[in-house]
Amino acid sequence: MPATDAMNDFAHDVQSLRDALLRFARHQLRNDEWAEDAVSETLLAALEKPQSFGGRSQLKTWLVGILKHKVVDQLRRHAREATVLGRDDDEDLDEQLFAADGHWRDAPADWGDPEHHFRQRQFFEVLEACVTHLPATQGRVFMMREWLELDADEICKTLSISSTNLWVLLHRARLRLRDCLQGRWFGAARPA
Amino acid sequence: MPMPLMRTCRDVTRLVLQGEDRRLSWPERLTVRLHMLICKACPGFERQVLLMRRAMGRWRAYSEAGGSDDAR
Repeated sequence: MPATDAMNDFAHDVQSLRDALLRFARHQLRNDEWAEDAVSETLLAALEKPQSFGGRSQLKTWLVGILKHKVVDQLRRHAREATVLGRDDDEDLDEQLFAADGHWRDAPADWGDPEHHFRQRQFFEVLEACVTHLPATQGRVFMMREWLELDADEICKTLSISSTNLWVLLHRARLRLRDCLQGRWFGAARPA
Repeated sequence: MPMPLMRTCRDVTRLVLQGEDRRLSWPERLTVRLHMLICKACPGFERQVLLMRRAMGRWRAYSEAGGSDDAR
């Protein structure tokens, strides 16, 4: 039956995007088990409600939209574990960056024209690697902000943390990301 | 409360980063802008933060759209 064929195609397409969704979920959850759960819930929701899906070319966008909600569900469910601080999370880059009088030890480098870097695929590979190397809790709040596009209040509520904690985590995450990009891209010798 | 001009690079850096995640108050914005006028190092930091913001936006857009994971 044609309707069944269409349904099979749909199921096949959804399944084929599973790896991309899993990678997306891992970046945000930093826990393989939670990521698997979020993706499974997403696929199930998609297969149970195919009628809410607009057009085939938009399949990934539609699934990512569902996944974002499932990722937030996971973070809420595992809030306690998701906010445990590792030794890395506690490390303070400020001490390395600033002298006792509050001045820069080394002035921030000129990174040049952003578009020049954005044209290079390797730049985004380094960016991804640097985000992946953030300590887990810092990485989670950073991705909630940058990829899930939640505001500070929503992040605090979801994870049951204070805004003071959030500012410290985001501050450290951004400084660390900057440090990593400086070391692995902007300050690294590479072919022009 | 210290005069806006008395803030250190370390303080201003913190405000610049918080500006990524919340709307700064006008005294805070004034502090940042005044500091940027007299500091040689912090404007460079602000440009780095802007580049990172735009880079994350690009990466997010590419990863979410279409069938490809290519960051291009």
